[in-house]
Amino acid sequence: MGDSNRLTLVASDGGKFVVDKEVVQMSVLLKNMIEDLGETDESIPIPNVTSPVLTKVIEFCENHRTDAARTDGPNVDGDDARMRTAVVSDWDRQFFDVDQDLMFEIIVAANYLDIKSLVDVGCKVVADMIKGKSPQEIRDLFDIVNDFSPEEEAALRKENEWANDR
Amino acid sequence: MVSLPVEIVHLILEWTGDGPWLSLSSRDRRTLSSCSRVCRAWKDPAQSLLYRMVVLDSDQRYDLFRDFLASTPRIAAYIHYFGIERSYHDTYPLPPFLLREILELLPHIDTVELDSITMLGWPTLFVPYPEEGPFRLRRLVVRGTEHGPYFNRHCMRFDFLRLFAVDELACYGNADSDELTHTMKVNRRGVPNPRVRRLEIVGRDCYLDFNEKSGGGLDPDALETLDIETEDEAGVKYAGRFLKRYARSIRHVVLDVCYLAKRKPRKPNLWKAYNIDACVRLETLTFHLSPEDSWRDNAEEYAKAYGAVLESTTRTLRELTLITWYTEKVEELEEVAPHISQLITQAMARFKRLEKVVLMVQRRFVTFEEYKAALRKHLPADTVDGNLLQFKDAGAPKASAGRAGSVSDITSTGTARDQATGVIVLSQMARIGRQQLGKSDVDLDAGAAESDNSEEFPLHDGLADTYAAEHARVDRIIRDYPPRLQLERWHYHHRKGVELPIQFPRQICDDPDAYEPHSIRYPILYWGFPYKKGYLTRFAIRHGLSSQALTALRDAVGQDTIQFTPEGLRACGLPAHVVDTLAREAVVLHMRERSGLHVDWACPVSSVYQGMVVVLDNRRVQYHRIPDKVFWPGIKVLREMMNEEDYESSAMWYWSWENAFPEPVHSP
Repeated sequence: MGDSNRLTLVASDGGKFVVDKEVVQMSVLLKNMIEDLGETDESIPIPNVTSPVLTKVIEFCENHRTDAARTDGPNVDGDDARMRTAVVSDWDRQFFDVDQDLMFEIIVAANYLDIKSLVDVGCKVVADMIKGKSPQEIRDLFDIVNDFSPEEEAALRKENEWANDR
Repeated sequence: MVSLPVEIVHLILEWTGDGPWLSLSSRDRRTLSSCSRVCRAWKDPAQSLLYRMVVLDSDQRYDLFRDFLASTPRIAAYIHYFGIERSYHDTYPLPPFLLREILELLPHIDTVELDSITMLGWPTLFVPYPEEGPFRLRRLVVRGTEHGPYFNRHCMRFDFLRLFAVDELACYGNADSDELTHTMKVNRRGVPNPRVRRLEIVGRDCYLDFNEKSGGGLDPDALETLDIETEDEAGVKYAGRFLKRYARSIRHVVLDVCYLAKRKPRKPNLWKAYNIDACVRLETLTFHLSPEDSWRDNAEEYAKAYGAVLESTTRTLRELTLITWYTEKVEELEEVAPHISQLITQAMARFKRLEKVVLMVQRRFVTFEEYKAALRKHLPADTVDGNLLQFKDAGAPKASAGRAGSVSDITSTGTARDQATGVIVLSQMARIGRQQLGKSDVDLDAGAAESDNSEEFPLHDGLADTYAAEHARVDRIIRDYPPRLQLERWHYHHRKGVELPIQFPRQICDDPDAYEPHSIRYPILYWGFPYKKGYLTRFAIRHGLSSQALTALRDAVGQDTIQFTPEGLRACGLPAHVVDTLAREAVVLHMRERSGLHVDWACPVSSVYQGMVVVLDNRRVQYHRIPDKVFWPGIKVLREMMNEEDYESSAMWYWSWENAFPEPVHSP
């Protein structure tokens, strides 16, 4: 029988990670799985997440493992907790100082694992990159192909006029 | 790029603002607009956020917006919040049926907020209300009518509230003049009384008064919650009328007497005028202890006032909530704890069925434990630690509803400590956030930039770049023609005491003097500003009349009245092209006797205003519904020219309305 406070996660490429249960319970998905499984030595497969991404996710959870204790309380609702992530800390910004593909993979993985704080921080970092940029600048930034025709784009611009400040 | 699921794109775009719960700044909107044009996958997420909350300025054309919604139901479905705010420049009055037509096109509309605009009356008394019955909304806010232009008794010729069935109705800062309400006729045939579950009021309110005086009132069985903010002694009586009238259905009362209590009113038994004793089915009572300055200086006064209210409250009360926003530090808490304890003790003694006392605390300043420790010095330990007393996080301070002023004035309502720590609570943002989320409070960590009203003038965000960009934009506009926009910017800059080196090229109009910077001290005639006769020239030119046309018009000054019909204008001897211009522009000028010119309203040629014929006759506006065709002829100006004395003595408010400058108009 292994350490009951730790469990093994298996990434999609077979990489194994032994982590504290307390850490992985930041993931709602994993928390529910752990509760369903009860006491077990079985590894938990994470089929949609590769080892490099899982490494980063675990790094984030370990760094933020005490956040839950700080923010969870009977009278702290979700929005309040979310608001606290509105300002990205230096550590979080540093954490996402990775290449874009990995950054997006972390966000997708966090969304799959249902780690709200990681999703929020990741989205905030990306949003900060977008702010104030033109469509072409955003495409260039993220290597996105423009699949609008010029007429469609002009129509959209016109369509948005009512929602824009003049 | 990794292919992102739509929901992730949506989450990312939510954060292009300051957070998913907030309204969007101009920059956020520009960003979202850009995002919607990045690629097809980003279009819907970006537009759904961009259009989640739409706020028109009152100088935008509501009829065109309605047409836009009708032609793009996909966009219409995104809108949950629709508002109209008064523009600083000019305003279109809002015909109620047009508002109704817009709302009918919004399948997910939740909240409507009308702020400081002019709501017109019903077309005629003989036009029935919509057959569809009242429009269902979760929340309707009508505020600042007293700031609205051209608000007069005609605008109250119908019971506006009957157009809606709402869960929450908030009426703040609307006109309260008896003159407006006591002589009105009302169209409410066959329409049931408005059903409102929660009513928020601050002082007297013309819409509520009219609703009541017209023999209707609200549905007497629907009103459950009354949220009252009282600013003066008359307001206590006013609120008392509601509490008495709807006592049968009211279960919950929220009171904020701080503004009045801190002025220490001496009237004996003042607080009994609330008539809260009439509410025999009252279940919960909530008190705001939210002063405008340090509340420990006034805590005793608040406790006295609320204590008097408690004395009158029915003994069947089950729940008492005390919202203590501004307790910033433990030492301060020590000083106010006796007063809070006094209220709790009084409530426990009086209300035998009391199930809980809730203390709303700003936890970011004081922990629950610190709060409890302070209370233990004045209350038995088993009371403080028992089940009766419950603590909840109050979040941010309440944005004062009634004293918030115009929405356009984004007002920092945070405490000094808030500001020192960079937490600025913006009344407008907080209010919008509350509405969007249904939350009682919203706190913004908006930073200092917002406190300087960056919505209008982004002082802090790359100052030099902003200036340069702004200058370039204004130059570009000026090159095209001097329409309204560059003057708006000038106006903003001027108001803020910031002069930008903007030069208006002489060649842009016929009358160079009109656009000399030094002569445009107040290019936008701000409401309430005493207009001078000399501004007529510039003003008229701004609205599309050439100097030539204006000169011709002024040549006609010798007459008492000009009829603004083609025939009337021709009869004045005006040249044909002037007649054409005036007819097209539908200019209304109304000058005082000393100018020698009295031009009453005219409805030239098309003579239609947003589906109505509008006729001003002896200062009475008459509307005639055009049932099958809505046509916008480009009504430009309705302006009273008056000096300061005239303005002060004027019993009515005069205003102007114009449409957005559609195309440059170059008269020959």
